[in-house]
Amino acid sequence: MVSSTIDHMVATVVFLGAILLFIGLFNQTIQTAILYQRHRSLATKCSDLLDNMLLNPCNPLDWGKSNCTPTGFGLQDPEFMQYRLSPFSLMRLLSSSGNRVYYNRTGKWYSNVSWGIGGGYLLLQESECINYSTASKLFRSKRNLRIPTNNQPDFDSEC
Amino acid sequence: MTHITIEYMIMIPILIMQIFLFPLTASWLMNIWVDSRRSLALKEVASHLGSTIQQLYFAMNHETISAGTATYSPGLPPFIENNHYIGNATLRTVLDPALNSSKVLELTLKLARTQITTTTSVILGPNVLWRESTFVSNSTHACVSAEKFPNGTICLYFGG
Repeated sequence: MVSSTIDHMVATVVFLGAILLFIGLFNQTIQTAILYQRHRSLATKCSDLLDNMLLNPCNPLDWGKSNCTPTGFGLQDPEFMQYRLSPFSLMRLLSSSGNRVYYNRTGKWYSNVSWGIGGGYLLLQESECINYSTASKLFRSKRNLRIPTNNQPDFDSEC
Repeated sequence: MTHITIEYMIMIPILIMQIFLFPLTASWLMNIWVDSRRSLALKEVASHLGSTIQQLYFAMNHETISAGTATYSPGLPPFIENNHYIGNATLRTVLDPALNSSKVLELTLKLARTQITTTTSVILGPNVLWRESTFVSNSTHACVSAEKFPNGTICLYFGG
């Protein structure tokens, strides 16, 4: 009777251990696979966004060289094809790294896009720059781009 | 004797239940993974197709290209795990249409015999039109076409 009870106790413990081991291993494997696929999905979405931003000269084509507000968003140089960006369009983006500069003679704030080379400065009037809110509005793709409050772009993996 | 019988009465149903429970759980988890994999493959196809449409539009929109029609076969796989897929698209303006703003082509792909769908967006210029058409992946003539009119308007549509 005692031997039988010990048998049952050992068997039950081994059985429960096997169940937990199976669930744990299977769950871990599936989680790794799902995580990998989510990352691939996010990478695909980012690739789409970059294609739209970098391979599209936007409308009007010369918005980087003029003061007009564009009616679409894109940074490609209209005079070239492929991944060549327009330096003028890039400079019209509101800088998030350089400190804003206030010029008291005009009473306006300027976006600082200086590189600091040779002590020169390049300041653009903020009202003529494209900020993240405007870019997001122009680059409207409701599920693709979410603009958080800290002025940093954040990509949403949902689609 | 009674004690052992009761143990068997408990253990045998549990063991039988496990026989069904393990395969069902494994099948359920594998279905999640397979759906995720198919969805990912469809997203990549949608991304490729969207990029193709965008590049075709910008190529046709170049000032050196005169009026005419261009057709491009995107070279996409006809099947995703033995299922073909069907694509549709809708065109909308980013801002008020009166502002002559850029347009966004919303491309939707659906994997046949499943509930998996995916959507991608491509930004095009204001001079684009979309002709209602369907992309069928396993069609022998599956392609993307762009027709440029003398006034510079470009009409895009799926062929095949």
